[in-house]
Amino acid sequence: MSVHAIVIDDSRAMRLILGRILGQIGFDVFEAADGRAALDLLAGLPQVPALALIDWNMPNMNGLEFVAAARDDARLREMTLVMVTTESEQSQIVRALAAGAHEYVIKPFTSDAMVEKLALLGLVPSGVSL
Amino acid sequence: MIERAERAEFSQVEVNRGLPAQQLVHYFERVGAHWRLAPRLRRNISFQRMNLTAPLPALPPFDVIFLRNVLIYFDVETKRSALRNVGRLLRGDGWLFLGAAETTIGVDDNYERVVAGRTSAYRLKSAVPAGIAGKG
Repeated sequence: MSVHAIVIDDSRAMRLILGRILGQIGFDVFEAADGRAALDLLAGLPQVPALALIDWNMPNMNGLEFVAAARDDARLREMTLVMVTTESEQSQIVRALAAGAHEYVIKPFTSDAMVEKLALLGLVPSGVSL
Repeated sequence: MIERAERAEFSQVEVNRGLPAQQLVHYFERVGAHWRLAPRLRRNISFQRMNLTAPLPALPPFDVIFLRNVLIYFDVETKRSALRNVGRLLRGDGWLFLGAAETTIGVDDNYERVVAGRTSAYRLKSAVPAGIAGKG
């Protein structure tokens, strides 16, 4: 059975990069350009993705608002939420974790660092070499 | 290098690797573009310059010793001497961590290798006189 993820970022290039990394470790990837579009997309999916990678600064609904909305939605409760953002102040990391994000990756990141973070969250299938 | 270690500062790229964000904000503080270990932890760490192949100064026995990517530079005799010296500072029930490419096997029979998940560590065999490892 395939494992799904959603990449939420207003940068098409970043969605491509993250989508490629996730694809390499076995995820089928959905994309959304902002938090609102992501919630709409998720509402129509028969199966909630296991993982969401979320940019902070986006139009319509930013990443922090998306995290709060996802935490309030019982259907999305099992989804692991990882912020992936250039926002690097300690207070912002604390805010995102308090809002319900499970992990926080600061851009720029390497592909290895991203996979290691996902491995910490138990989201890298065994058999995938790190 | 010791000065750099004492500063306890890490770049963003370094802290992105394998450190959960929850622990990052709990144990580190942001200093400019870097992350620095929190003062309450830095206070518990001391640094000393030592020669691993000479008798080491008297120190209380350690629960854990990390000696990573050091032995690879030495010949077998020097490795044996370093492992013997380090063993004297390790508690009887303590753990020694070596680098991934290093081992005590075939160098010092006083250690046994214990595999734990994707890594391994070493502990002193009971054959090591308890008086040596336990002194301190």
